[in-house]
Formats: sequence, structure tokens, C-alpha cells
Amino acid sequence: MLAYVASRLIQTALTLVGISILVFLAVHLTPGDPAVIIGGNEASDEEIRIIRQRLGLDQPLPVQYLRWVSHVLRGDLGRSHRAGREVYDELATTFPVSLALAAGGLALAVLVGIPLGIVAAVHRDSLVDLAVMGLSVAGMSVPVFWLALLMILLFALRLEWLPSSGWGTWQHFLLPAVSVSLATLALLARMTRAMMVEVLLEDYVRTARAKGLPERLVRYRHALRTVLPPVVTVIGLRFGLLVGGAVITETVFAVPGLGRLVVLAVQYRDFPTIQAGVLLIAVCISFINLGMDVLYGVVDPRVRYV
Amino acid sequence: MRTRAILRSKSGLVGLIAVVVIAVAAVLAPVVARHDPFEQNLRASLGPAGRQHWMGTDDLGRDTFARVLFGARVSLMIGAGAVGLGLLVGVPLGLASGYFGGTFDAVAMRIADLLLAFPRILMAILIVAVYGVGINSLLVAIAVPDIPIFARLARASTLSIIQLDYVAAGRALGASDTRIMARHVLPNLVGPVTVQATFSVAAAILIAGGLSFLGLGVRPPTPEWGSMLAQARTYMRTAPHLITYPGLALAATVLGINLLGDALRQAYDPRFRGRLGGA
Repeated sequence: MLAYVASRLIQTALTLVGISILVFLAVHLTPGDPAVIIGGNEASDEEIRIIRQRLGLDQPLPVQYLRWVSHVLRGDLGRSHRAGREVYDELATTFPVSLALAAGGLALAVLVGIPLGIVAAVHRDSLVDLAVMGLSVAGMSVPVFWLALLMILLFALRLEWLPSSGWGTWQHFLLPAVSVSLATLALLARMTRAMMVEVLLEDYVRTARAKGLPERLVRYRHALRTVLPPVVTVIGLRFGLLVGGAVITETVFAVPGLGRLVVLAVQYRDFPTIQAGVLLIAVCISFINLGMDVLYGVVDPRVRYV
Repeated sequence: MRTRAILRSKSGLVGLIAVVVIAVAAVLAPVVARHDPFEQNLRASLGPAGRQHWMGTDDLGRDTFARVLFGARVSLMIGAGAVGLGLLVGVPLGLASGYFGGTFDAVAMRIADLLLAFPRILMAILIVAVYGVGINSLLVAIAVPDIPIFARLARASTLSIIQLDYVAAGRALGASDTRIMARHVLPNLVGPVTVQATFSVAAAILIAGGLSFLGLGVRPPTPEWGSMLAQARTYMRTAPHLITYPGLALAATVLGINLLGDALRQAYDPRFRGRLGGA
């Protein structure tokens, strides 16, 4: 077990190094002076000079990279010329918002998606199954931004039940959470159904039925237990889906989160913010994947030997 | 193509019809549309759907129906172009990686894993940020995340195919590596690659729409569904039809392609009962 955790830790560390190199090169391999790219077009000569000095742009690339990493590790992420503030402060205010939104979206996807999948599997080939599967395929095909606009149209403009944008109260939270969760919800429903259908045909399920256990017990005690662990892993792996949904959702609903920050930064070519934002999201995803793998290794001993 | 197997599944048939209809509409857009998609008429701005304009008009009085039709061209071309690009780089890479193994394989797969650890939209945003907003960087931004997917897929299939007897037989007869890869391995990759490519096109169209919606992809005045939706936001209250139709077109296209992909997957591998989602 310890060896497994150690090897996963090393893997994660390597991934993080790779991601940081990618993010670093994104700026330094672009045509143009990196100091001007980082400082922005409106930066004064003095500011450009400071950036050049801070990053040591006359040094070889590997040296510059190490210097940049050491700055990042100390929390010095540079200055956002769009907001005129430290990038660190920008991230500190937007990150918790995105985290809350992702958690809400994930909770919704799990609490609705998995039960839908179970119901569909149990009533296989019925109308309910057809409806759930139809909804699930539709859920994976409907663009997040369209769904978001339709929800605004219905709940904010027509019915006037919920605000169309902003952040702070539970009313502000509802529509963005639904919009973020959609893709994951659809995926979970589909996966749960497919696995449940297979498991319900297994010998041990037949045995459980044969010895006269009530159907409810067979389904939720015997079958569901086998289905859940892989589904949980997928939840972790598909965290990227939530992030992707969040970038667009936050922009549509004007939620002051990390995704909207990155989009704004790209529009203003605010590179320190882009680099830091992308890095932060990638680091989060790596750690979530690590956590999921370790958790899965604890639950299922077979995993450790793969 | 396993046409009969696709036609046997009802949803596959629906998907096929949807894709064909949309593709034909895209090709025949100049014939079907009764207005120029760029022609402005400020006196007819934000008009509702009617006889003259089947899907109404936008803020500049342009015909929404024409713009939705021409938008199909843009979306399908971006989807096919980006996936074609990813496929052309990824498949040979994966094939060579699986065939030769060794250091090249190890390095290539590490890089692939690294790219796969990145959320798609984030990598696309990073690429657009670096190369600037435009259709070329949009294509690259969508294609690059596809490369590791195709490489991994091609590698996995290659690894199982080179174990087969006829590859050994070919080798015994003195066939070169290139010949074995091209004549024996590559044809066997067609199935899995076609299935993945179908889902990838759907995902590419969605991402292109999303990036254009964010102002990071196709820019106005080019008719593109995502950017049309972004422009329509301002007039949501007075002209909701501007939200309805481009979104409907986008959703129908992606849904059709995903359904077709599901049917293809089952046609190529009957054991598969849709375990994982597309996109």
C-alpha cells in the first residue's frame, strides 16, 4: 500500500513539473518579447525593466524556468496589469467561489445522476429507462452556455424567480450549479446504468435472489456495492468536466470565480493571471486524481498491483 | 462502414438522418437561404419569426435562418478540420509508439498522459491566449487535446494487433516494418479510430461553440452558433428567438453526431453496451 501511494505521489509530482513547464513555455515560446507579453502593451519602460530583471530574461530558458518556479512556490505570481493587483490576491478571492460552485455542481450530479442510473437499470428497456437514457444523451449534447441562457430566459426573465447573474445568496447559486453539473450528471446516470445492468446479471446476484432475499436488498446491498467504486473514480477523473463547465457558466452568470477570471485575462492578454489561473486549476485536478486513486487503492486491494 | 448495423439501431438511424440533413443544409446553404447572412437591414432589426424571415432577424436585421444555415458550415468545417488534424498527428504517433516500443514509446506516452491531465477547455484557452483569437488558433486549440487521445487509442490497438499470427507471417515473409504498419496494422485501426473521431467531432463542435461564445473563437460577423448566442444575450428579453435557434442547431448537430457515434461503437464492437459517454 505504501509503495503504491509513493509511486502515485511521484507520478503526481512529475505531472506537476510537466504542467508547470507547459505553462511556462506558453509565454516564452511565443513570438515577441516575453517581458512585454507579461507586462502588457500599456506597461511603462520602467515596468518592463523590472519584469525583465525579476525573471532574468537574459538567462537561458532552464534558468528562467527555475527562477519562475521559485517565485511561484513563494506565492509571488506577478502583477495583473488588467486588475492592477497582485495575481495572488486575485486568485485568493476567486478560487473559493469556484470551489463552492464545483462542490455544489458535483453534489447535484451525484445525488441526481446515480439514482437515475439505478432506476433506469432496474427497469431496463422500460419507458423510464428510455427517458433517462434520452435525457443523458441530450445532457451530454446540449451546450452549457445554451442551457444557461435558456434557464435565465425562463427562471430570471419570464418567471422572475431567480436572479440572472451575480453571486452571494443561495438564489444566485442555483442556476449556475445546475448548469455546471449537467454534463457530469448525464455521464454518471449513463455509467451507473450500464454497470448496474451488467452486475444485475452476475451469478452472485442470482444467488442472492435464489436464497430468497428481498429484491430491494439484492439491488442496494449486493449490486450497488459493486457499482459504486468505479463510479466514484470517474467522478474524480471527470473533475475536468466540472472545470470546463465552470469556465463558461461563470462567464454567463457573472459569477466572480476562477474560470471567469481566466477568460477575462485571456481577453486582455493578461499573462501572469492566465499562467497562475491555469496552473492552479491543473494542480487541483492532479491532487484530486491522486486522492481518488489512493482512496480507491484503500477500498479495492486489486488496484495496488496494477 | 457497417451501414446495416447502424441502421438496425433506431437511435443510430436518427443520428445518421440528423447528420445528413445538417450536412446537406450546410452544403446547400447558399441555395436554401433566401437571404444573404451578412445583409443588414436596420429597419427590420430584431424582428420575430415570420413569412419573410423564418427564424426572425437579429439586431442588425440580418436573417437568422440564413445565419444558422451558414453557421452549420463553419461548425462542421471546424469540427472536421480540428479532428482531422488531431487524427493525422495522433494516429501515426500512436502506431509507431506501439509498434517500436522502447524509449520513444515511453517518452511519447508520458507526454500524452501529461496532456490528458489538462482539462480540454483550459488547454484550448491557453493556446488561444498565446496565439491570439482567430480561426487558426481555434483549430489548433481544439486539435491538440485530441492528439493524445488518438495516440493512446492507436497504440493500444497496435499492441494487440502485432501479437496476431498474420503479422508474424508477414514478418516471416520478409515484409518491412513500414509495410506491416501500413498494410496489416493500419487497416485494423480504422474501426476504433472512426468511433473515437465521431465523438471527437461532436466534442470539437461544442468546444468551438463555447470558445466563440466566450469571444475566444470565431468572431463576428462570421455566422457561428456560439458567437451568435453571445451577441443575442443583449436582446434576450425582446428577441428570445435569437437564443432559441442557434442553440437548437448546435444541440441537434452534437446530439446527432453522438447518437451516430454510439451506433458506430456498437456496430464495431457488439459487446459494448455504451459503458462510457462520448464527448
